[in-house]
Amino acid sequence: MIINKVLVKLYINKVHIVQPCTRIRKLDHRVVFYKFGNTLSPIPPSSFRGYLRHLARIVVSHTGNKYLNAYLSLFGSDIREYDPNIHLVSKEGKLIVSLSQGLNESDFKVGIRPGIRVNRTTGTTAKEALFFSEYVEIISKKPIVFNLEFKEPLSKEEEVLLAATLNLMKNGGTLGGWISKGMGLIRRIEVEPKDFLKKSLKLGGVLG
Amino acid sequence: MVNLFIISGIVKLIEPTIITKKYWKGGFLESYDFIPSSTLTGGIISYINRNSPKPSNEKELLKLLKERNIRIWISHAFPYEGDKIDVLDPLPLPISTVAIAENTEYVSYALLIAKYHMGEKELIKRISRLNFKVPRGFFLIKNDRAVMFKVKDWYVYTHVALDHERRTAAEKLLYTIESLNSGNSFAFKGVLDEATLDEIKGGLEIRLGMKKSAGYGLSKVEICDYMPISKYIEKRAGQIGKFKEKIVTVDVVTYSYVDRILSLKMEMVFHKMYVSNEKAFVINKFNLYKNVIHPGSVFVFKRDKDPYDLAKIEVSLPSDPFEMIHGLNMLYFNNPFHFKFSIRGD
Repeated sequence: MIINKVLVKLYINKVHIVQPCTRIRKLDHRVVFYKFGNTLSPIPPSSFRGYLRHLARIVVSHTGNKYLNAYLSLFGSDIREYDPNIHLVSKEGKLIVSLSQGLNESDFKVGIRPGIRVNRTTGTTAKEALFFSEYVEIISKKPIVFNLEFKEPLSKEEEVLLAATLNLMKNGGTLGGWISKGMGLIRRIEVEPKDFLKKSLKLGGVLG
Repeated sequence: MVNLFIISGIVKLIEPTIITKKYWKGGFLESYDFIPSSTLTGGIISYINRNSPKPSNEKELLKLLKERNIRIWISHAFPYEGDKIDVLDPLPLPISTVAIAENTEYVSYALLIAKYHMGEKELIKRISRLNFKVPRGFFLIKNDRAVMFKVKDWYVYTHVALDHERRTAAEKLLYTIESLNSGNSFAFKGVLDEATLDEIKGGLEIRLGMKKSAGYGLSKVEICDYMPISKYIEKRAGQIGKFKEKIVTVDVVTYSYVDRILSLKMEMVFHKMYVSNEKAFVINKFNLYKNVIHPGSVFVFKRDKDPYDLAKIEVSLPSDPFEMIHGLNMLYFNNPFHFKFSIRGD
């Protein structure tokens, strides 16, 4: 069966993906919403794609670079694979991530939390250390749905790599910042087609 | 012989779209406030060619255009609000001769200054009452009122490349991208052959600009109106000849060569233009167009040509195929925006 499309439903309670803000003394980091038609998402598809790439790289390292070629063709060139002897020509990957369904305005609320920076050596508050940052709490517990499409049909190795990546995300993935404050923990993911996650069974552990 | 049609349409952005300018400073990628012709044409050609292999170099692209007899010459898509635009309507252009009149309405001073140069010296009083400090916008006459359109909102987002070993942001790999936010809509016009028109008549969804794989660039293109060019020329000749003053204004719609303006061979009375070098991509390479006149530049001529000939110039395609797909040399005669102020008088 040729897979053209994989839907990922992401269940998450609080997210902290922020941008610098210029309202000094009031707000230092603000949430930027990605707008798709009439819906909003606190997680832009670009961040989600970057996160998938990040996890896939961990899978590649974990399996002894066996899936390196699959990784490069799926996600595109990686700065780590830069060879100074060959002129770097960046190549795009075949994976397209887009938002399929975001949230309505009544589904979430935006909160503000203060924080301080601590000087690592002295263990005291650093100078100019107080900051305020926004975060998003999803009250309605609705999922954010991402659409993974492929420019060309996937090879078997690419399917295994993508399935292992999604399994790794399922088993304790975190997205965005302030993980130590309980934000960004991925509670649950649902994948369509449902048996897609079984493709990496032979890798075992958190990957299969 | 290919049957040519003139079309008008709307581009609606579903996802934020990044179309960056030629140069950028530091890590900030600045965006255009319109969709360039080359970007839109590229999207449409790749849609038409979606079931065949992608051309990998210039020669293959030329071969594709020649084999299928593709004629596609599309203007830039300028910001617009509304669901429909007719073929005979002018596009919202970034007109360079806009001022604010005493009644706070946007007006064009091109004809006033042209007439001043032609001998009506008392017009200097009216010119002196204008306010020339006008922000950049795209202007159009709608329901007998001058309207300014702008890009409604921008989506600015900072991206970080990751160092996968240390799970931190990699050094010197922070960059900020400015993009046109979803919900903006743009209007365009163009000339197409019959086969291409049949294929895209029902509307299409294409991805435009950069970072298409990371959730950017999905947009919907709708063709609102079309007519054969012979019919268009007749109707436009009537529109151009409607203004009785022996004067003709020329609006530059897309980047145009000076030669195109000079080839009109009429006596120039007034001009306001911006000239620069522009580049447009053709599969891994770019074509440099030197000393081209920017869209929104305005020329005023003494009219000694038949309106029928002028209407013909509006729909005559460039002979070079790359100039055609990059939408060069598109002009628009006698935009009602210029005539409104001077006709009303006072």
